[in-house]
Amino acid sequence: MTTLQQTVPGAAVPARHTGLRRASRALRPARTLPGALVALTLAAGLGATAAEIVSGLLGHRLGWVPVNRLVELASRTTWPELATAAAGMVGAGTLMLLLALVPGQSRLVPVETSDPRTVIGITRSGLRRTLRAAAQQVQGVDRARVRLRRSTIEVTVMTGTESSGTMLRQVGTAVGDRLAGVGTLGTGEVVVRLRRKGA
Amino acid sequence: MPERTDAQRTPPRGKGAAMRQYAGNRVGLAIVGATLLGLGMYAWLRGHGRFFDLPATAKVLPAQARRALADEPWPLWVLALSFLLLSLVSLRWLLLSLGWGRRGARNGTGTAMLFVGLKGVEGLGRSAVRVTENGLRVTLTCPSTADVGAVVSKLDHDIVGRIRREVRDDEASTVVRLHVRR
Repeated sequence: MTTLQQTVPGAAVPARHTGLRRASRALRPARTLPGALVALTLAAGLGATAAEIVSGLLGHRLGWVPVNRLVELASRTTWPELATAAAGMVGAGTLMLLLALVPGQSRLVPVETSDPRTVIGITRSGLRRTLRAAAQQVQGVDRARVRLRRSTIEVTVMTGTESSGTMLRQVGTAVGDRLAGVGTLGTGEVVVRLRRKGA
Repeated sequence: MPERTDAQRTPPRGKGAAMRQYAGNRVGLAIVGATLLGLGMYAWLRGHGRFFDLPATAKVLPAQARRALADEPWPLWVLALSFLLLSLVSLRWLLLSLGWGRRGARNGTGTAMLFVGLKGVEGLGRSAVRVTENGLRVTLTCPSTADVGAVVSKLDHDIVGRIRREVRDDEASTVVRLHVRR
């Protein structure tokens, strides 16, 4: 199998910083899963503990949370024995703070718009599919695979034995034109790789 | 003309209100994370005898505190009330993070206008216009054979503006989520 590679400079629309910043802010991941998990844990844990304390004070224990055993344990344990738990809490706290502060990678790729009140984002899988469809429209391409990296888009096309450098350019042009047509922001350059079967 | 829903009647917030993603989860995670980090650091410092001059070998719950709790039950009532309040706040956070009150209402007129505007595109599916208190949310799914560039251009230059004027007002900000299916 032979591999040829071409980089298509300027195939992607250059990043328009204002539009990109605005779109990135609107499409930033909302951290729904970790937020919902932490909120569920807190709501259930604190609610059950409150109910257990009140029921204990009224003389009818629910038995949901072993409050008495925890008090017993706390009155027997010294601070150095809590080193592992402390490390766990520091780790969990740092992870949560990082989730809160790091912007993260959005599942939507921002698209250039002419109206500042409109933000359009295309899903990463959707962008992969449309670029793959563009690459596969080139004559002689059997199969294409698209990978979206942080600063580049990698397009790998599988062809027959008779493929040439011209095909590489055609694929680069097709993918670049499609990308420019969609108008994605901040996707970087396109790298096209061509793989010949049986060479 | 169909009667407008509550979400449509709600006056729009600032011009860029919908241009920010929901930040409640990040705020909640930051508060819980900082609290855990603070408690963990305190426990670690106490265990190493580096928290002022407090002894490292002291019990986590001193005997006096335990006796005081057994003699006077009111701190336990205060503790239970605090836990209950925090639990209710967490429950509200959970509901908001799952989209309660944020997703808005589907708008049939807007969805119809979206399909009419894109009538040249074959195979559109799972598309909807939702009116939220921060603006509009448009979801659109088209096939991989569609000219996505043309779809984006039509949305940007024509369709979104028309939908916005019809179902809300021209100042409402709009977020469009475009997906390409197999």
